[in-house]
Amino acid sequence: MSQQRDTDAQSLQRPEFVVRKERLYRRLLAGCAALTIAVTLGIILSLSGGALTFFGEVSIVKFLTGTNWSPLVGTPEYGVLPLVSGTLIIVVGSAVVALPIGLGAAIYLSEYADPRVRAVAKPALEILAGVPTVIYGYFALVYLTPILDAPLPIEQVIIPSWLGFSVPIIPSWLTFSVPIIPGGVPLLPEFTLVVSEFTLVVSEFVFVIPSLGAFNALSASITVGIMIIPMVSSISEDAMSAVPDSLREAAYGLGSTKFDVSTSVVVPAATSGIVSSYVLALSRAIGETMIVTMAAGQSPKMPYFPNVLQNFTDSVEVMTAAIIKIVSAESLGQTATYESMFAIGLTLFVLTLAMNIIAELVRRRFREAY
Amino acid sequence: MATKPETGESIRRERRFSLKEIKGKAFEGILVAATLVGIAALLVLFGYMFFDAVRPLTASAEWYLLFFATLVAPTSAFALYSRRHPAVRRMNARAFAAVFGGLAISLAAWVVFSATGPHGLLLYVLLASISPLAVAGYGKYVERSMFVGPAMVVVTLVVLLWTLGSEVLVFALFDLVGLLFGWIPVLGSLRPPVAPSILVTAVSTGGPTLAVLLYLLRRDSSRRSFAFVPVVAALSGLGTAGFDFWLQPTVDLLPDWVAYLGLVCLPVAAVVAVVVARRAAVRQGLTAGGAVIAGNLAVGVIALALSVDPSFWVVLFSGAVVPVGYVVGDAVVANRKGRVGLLGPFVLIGGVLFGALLEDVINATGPDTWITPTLLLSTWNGIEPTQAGAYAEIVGSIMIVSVMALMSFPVGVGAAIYLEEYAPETGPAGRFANFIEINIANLAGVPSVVYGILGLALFNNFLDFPPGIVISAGATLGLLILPIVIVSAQEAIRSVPDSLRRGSYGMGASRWQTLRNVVLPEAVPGILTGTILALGRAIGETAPLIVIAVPVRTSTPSGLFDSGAAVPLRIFASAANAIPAYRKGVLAALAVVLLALMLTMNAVAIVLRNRYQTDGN
Amino acid sequence: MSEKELDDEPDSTDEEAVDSSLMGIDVAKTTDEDGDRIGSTETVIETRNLDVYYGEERALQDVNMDIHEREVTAIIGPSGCGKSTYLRCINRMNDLVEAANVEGEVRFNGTDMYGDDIDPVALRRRIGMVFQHPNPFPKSIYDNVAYGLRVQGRKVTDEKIERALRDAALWDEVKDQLDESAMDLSGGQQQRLCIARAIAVDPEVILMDEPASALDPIATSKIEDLIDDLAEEYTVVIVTHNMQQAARISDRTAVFLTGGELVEYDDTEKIFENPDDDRVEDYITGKFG
Repeated sequence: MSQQRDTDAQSLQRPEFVVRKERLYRRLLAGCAALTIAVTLGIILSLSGGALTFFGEVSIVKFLTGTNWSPLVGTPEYGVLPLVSGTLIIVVGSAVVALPIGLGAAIYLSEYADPRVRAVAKPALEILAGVPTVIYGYFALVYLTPILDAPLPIEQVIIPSWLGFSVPIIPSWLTFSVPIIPGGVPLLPEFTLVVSEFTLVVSEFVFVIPSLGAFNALSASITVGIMIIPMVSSISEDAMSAVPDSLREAAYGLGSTKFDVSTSVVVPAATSGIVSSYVLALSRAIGETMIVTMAAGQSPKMPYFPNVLQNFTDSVEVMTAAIIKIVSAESLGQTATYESMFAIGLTLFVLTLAMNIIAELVRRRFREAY
Repeated sequence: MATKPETGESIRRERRFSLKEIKGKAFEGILVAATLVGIAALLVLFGYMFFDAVRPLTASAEWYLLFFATLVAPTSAFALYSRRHPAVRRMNARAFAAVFGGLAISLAAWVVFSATGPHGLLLYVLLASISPLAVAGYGKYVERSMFVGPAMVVVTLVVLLWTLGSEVLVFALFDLVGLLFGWIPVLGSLRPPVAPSILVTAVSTGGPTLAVLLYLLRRDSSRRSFAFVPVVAALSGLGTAGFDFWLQPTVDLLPDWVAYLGLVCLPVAAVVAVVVARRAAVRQGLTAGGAVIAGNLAVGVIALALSVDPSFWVVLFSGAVVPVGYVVGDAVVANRKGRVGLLGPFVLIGGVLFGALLEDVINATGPDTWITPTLLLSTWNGIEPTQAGAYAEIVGSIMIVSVMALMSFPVGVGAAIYLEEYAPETGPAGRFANFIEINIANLAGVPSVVYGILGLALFNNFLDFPPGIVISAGATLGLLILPIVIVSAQEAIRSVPDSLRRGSYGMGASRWQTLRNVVLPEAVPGILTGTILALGRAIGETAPLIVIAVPVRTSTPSGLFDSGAAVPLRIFASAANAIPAYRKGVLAALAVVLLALMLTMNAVAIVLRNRYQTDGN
Repeated sequence: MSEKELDDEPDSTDEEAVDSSLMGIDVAKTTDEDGDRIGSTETVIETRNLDVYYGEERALQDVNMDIHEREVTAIIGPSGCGKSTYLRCINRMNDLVEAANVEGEVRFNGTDMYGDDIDPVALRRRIGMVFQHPNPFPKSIYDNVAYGLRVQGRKVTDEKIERALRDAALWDEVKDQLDESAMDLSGGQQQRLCIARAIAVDPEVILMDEPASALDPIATSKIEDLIDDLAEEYTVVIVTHNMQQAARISDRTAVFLTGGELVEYDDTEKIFENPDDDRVEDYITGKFG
């Protein structure tokens, strides 16, 4: 028996090659995981490498406080503020669209919707986030801008013309021109017919509301807003679903209506999730490239101050679009203009990273609320 | 008693005016409206583009009648029937997957292979299969075969990496040295001393030899085992020379269709053989594999006899006929329940063909659509919109997506496995894993244009690749979707119940065995779902491609190192085209194609996920 | 704290209490028929001064216990008393719980199984385990039974599969559907499949963690019959919260009470008829726990 015990001890030891094999697998897999750190390092190195060269030529203060961005024309100037202002305009516009709609959809899906409705509506909303952004950009440029630019088609049907007014969405028909794209060809010949004679009636308002350009921040920011709706609604809905039912039952037990429960129990309890979904969605809006490049145009400018609406009807240039513009410019070589792209990229990266971290902190900070 | 009626009154629902109720209803109405706005936006988006791309109003009423009679009616009748019979539905799903999946894959493979030419790819396939097979043979020969699995993986990776980019790698190494030590006077100006090809040969012979030598030295091996060193040197030298002077010229001499046969038929036959062998026995597996090869040869011979180029038919046979044959054969032999379901895809195809036949007979005019064979099969034409197509872009997109999938899937799944199964929660390794998880979450939020800059700096500037080639586009997008793949794979792995793991460990399975035999088979559908969704999203990615300078070109990319092309780039480039027929015709059609592709991938992913969830219960 | 010296326990079981039960529990009469099982001095697993901590919490206190070859040893006690923890220590399943910290000594055939050079995987190949909830793999019945053989790199033969299924009293029910999914079996069948899976690899010890608690009475009685049969070939350690079950099937019984303390360990009859410790008597008669 003692002999058997010896062999026992032996057979309970782990053969060396098994140890080595398991270790090899573990290392291979850990290597895969570590690659993600390499990606982050790669991003930081490639951004800061170019940005450092750029800041060697242009002072960082000038970059951050300059109000003129014209890297490709004449004497180049590299003030990032016009780009930041463009991004801000898009973010504000998309926030106006996405935050209330996303929150409303989230409350509906979490509190009101029948499970079968939710099973259809939630994936349907999430498709919005999966549509290629280039298609959104195309839609904004080719379809949405002309729609916004024209009177509501309804007016011709419902509102008899002898009433003497029309119902605009954005009254660009107040001006008498047809939107022109830079090539000089009418963008939308079919819409020229829609210019109604009633414009004359209210033409005194022309100076108040400017016309909508072929490239404008309005349609871009609406489209960006539509794109980020599912980010808001999904993450907020998850946060609301995580609110324990006992809280709801307690409120119902005290005689609350569904409205009370939704607004004064569920939403406050899910605040952290809602806020973090807002921050994440806006960070997505900041980083969005194709929609704004295609629909908002490429003319960097500081915001118009008293006439705030004009910021939306005009073309703007955002940070991401500036990168695309510089990259698309031919044969720049290693000039300051080329390197400025890395500086913008770094600004973008830092901005979105900060927002993601804030979102995560908010989520963690308030997670123990219930 | 007097109070009772009052109570009854107060708990009764107020009939007439109740502010509370109106408030509640209004609130609900607002919420419904908010949800609907999102969905309506989607419908408007699709609606406008679909209307302009397909132009449904241009079709005659007869055509619609025909459309419903031959296509919509039979398929929906069949769908209704199969809904009621789960066995039929399952079989229907399998038949659909086999027929349309097989068709899609074989067509995609065909367009890519015919763009790149089959010979170079065949070389890769041969190399990538010879070396692991050699390792497996060696593993059978020595008893301690535990290392064979990882060794096969490592060898395949090394060989592929080396054949793909040996020169690039060698010079990147020199660049790195120059970058790190460039400030040292002599080293800074050091360049590779000899011609690249000689250097590559030297490294590919010396590398393995050195590795073996170091291994033996570290393990204090007996003197006799050092006899291995010259053997390895000779073998790797022979391998390198054999590749250069024998294999490559031989492969290049093969006729096209034989190259296609090797490229497509051999892997398909191997897969069929392995699948059948797992389900039945090795002998049957070999028979099935042999049958696939024989069938392919037969197709080739018949085509040659009819003096048709057999290449396309060989690819189609391997990619589409073989899986359909497998599913049909399985349904006839083994799994006889719900065999009617096999008819599903053929009802659809038959409907289309019959409708097309009748269309001419009854003289119905179909819609004057922009989605035509021309759009898909010819290259761009900037003058005549009806002649404009996006063949080059489609081929480029397929190539980029393939590279992307090949790069991000293994790495992403590996990382997810490490984080879920291996990484401890505490200690330094735990902190490392925690840091990686935070890092992945942040990477998922980095704007895509920043990934573009990474690709630009890494591939175009650092590795000196020509701007915008397929491989750097695929790799850049691969890095972009990596966090999504990791996170969804993590979720899939996490959803495998712990009781299964414990059961396996209790049986004396090691971590890796548990993973391979229990956890991964359960998690694969979930992992695939996440990957397909990520790929679907990445197909439309544009900004990174612009940044790494992928051109808008009209000819098909000829290989991984040729400039890429992508459908979304064409949409971007032509969106401001002044001619309405382009702006709202061709482009709308392209956008619809892209959207349809994305929706199909989403649908496939959802079907996979649902099936997986019902199986799990 | 029970500082029982287990070697002291009487070899003979003659002193059967006349009064057959304390609360109407029928103690297994198998001890009479299979008298050779009781009193076997061959110890398979020795536990010395075993303490287990989950983080700060102490789950087992200074447990000393010997498990004898070819016997059924039952471990009973109220929930949270550490009986499952003890079971998991025997095949080092606690290694999978990161926070668990094991101190003391567990010897398997005389080898310290927590020694540095011991591979828990190799250990588990010789100490099989059956869990509370049936957990067959989502594979065919055949593949489930063959799983252990495969991961241990041993040859899979139809004979081995059939013998394991026969030993688990499942063969007659599934012999025509070996290729069908194990998930389609009933709960009781699944649990017997898990037992077949465990015995297919010829372990020396089989650990069972409340194997019948998730099953209906008929399935439970089948499992109990099976355990009784298994004891002729294997050493079985079973955790149960069901005292009647312990009394019916076990040869020896260990009673753990709250705090992870082994209060008494003795022949089953002794425990159920004439326990030394008052707390055990209280527990068995239902005054405690």
